[in-house]
Amino acid sequence: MRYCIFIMSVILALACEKSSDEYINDDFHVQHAGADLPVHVRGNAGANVLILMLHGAGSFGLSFRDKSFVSELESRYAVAYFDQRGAGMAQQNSQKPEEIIKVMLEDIEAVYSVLKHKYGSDLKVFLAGHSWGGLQSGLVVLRDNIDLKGWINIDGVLNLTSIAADRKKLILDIAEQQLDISFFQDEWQLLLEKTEVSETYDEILGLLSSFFELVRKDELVSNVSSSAKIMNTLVHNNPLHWWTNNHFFRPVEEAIERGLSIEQRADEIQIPVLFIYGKYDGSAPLSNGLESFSSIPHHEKNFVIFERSLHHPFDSEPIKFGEEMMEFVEKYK
Amino acid sequence: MIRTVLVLLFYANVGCQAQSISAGYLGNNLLNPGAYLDLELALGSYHQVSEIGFYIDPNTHSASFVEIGVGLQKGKWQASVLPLGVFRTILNRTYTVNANGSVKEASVLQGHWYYSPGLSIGRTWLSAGRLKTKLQLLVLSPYNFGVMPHVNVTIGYKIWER
Repeated sequence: MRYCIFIMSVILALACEKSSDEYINDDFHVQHAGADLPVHVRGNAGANVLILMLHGAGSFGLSFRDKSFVSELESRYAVAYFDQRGAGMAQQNSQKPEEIIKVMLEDIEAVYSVLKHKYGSDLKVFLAGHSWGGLQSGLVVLRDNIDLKGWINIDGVLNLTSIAADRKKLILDIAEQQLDISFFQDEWQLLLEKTEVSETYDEILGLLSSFFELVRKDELVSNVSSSAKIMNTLVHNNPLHWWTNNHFFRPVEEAIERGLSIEQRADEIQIPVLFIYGKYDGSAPLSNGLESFSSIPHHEKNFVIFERSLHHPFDSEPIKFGEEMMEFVEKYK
Repeated sequence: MIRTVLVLLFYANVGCQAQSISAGYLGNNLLNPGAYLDLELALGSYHQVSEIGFYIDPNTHSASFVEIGVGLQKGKWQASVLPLGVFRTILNRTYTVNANGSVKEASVLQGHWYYSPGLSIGRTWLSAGRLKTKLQLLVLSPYNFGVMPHVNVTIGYKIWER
């Protein structure tokens, strides 16, 4: 009998011990300025740390939820993925507002407010953005309306005035590097010649698919394949929504027209930053983020180049990506 | 506009004679589960087709819709045009953020109304033609900054036939 009581006491004591693991799997919408934005919060809320993840142009929130995000980040922190206005499964009936880019930044702040409301005002939030989301997250940091522990810029296009020139320079640099060592010298030579005479944004954009193809053929980047990614695209996000929304709404085009950039104001950034860029990223070359990074006045900053990545280092080098993210969050949480 | 469509939906059914009723599974985007109920009415050499249906998209929302149109039967095949349709999404928990930044707790039954005309093509199976399959395309408008196509597949059974 005494043994039974002892064993029961041990079990009860273990059961009552507070665990630092508190996994959440929340789906909800944030209604702001006429739009309903789906938010998916996944991971461990025990540490009271949350990474708010912004997707790039024509993408959707759950597109990131794979590999390092699930196995590394979500096991330690909560991650909030959300579909931005006009993208993914977001819904609205109204016309496009005149100041759409400003409204999209306010959307991010609205999602932040709801996360704080829902999970507690002491929640420590890191803002992360990929590609177009990298620029948006930088603009939110500059607005300084929300309390962030840090900013993580992943292959962000931070200066749209120089993006065409940065892309051109990357293609030329890599083409020259590969001319002597590649099995596909003729193709690199052809790309080099075409790039040298290309000047406009659209002309250089048109060369990127050839560049990516050659980079892959020369095995300069790690292979990316994932069944979870396909599941996220086809099941968790309706692919028709993704395709159709992208057809009707391209905020990046408006941002290009306005020459949006954070470069001139990067010296105002006061919070810790982590910049992650793929070495062969032709969509957002690392030189496009380097100027802004150099202008950030404090020393709580780190610029990491992923040597075997294009535009999605979290897919191509997931272990390194998870390690860099965790190191940053642990240091500044 | 939605009210006008609802009134038209009601009057479109007056004065017709019921031919068959079928019901079954509806899959939005193939995998989001739902159900439908079809009513076919005689309208000269054509059928008037009325359908109600719903589905659940587990991550984000559920939706229900009413469609009315005209169908033409040829052998085992039927094609329908559905010019009158109303589509309602019902979102999962919603938090509202006002202009001053204040957050209001989750309100229930948030969602959007859409005008949803469509097309469908169906086929009957089995000797009595009681098993029905159908591929349906609805176009939701105004959705975000344009329109949104919705593809439904159905498999059902004629539960009553004149």
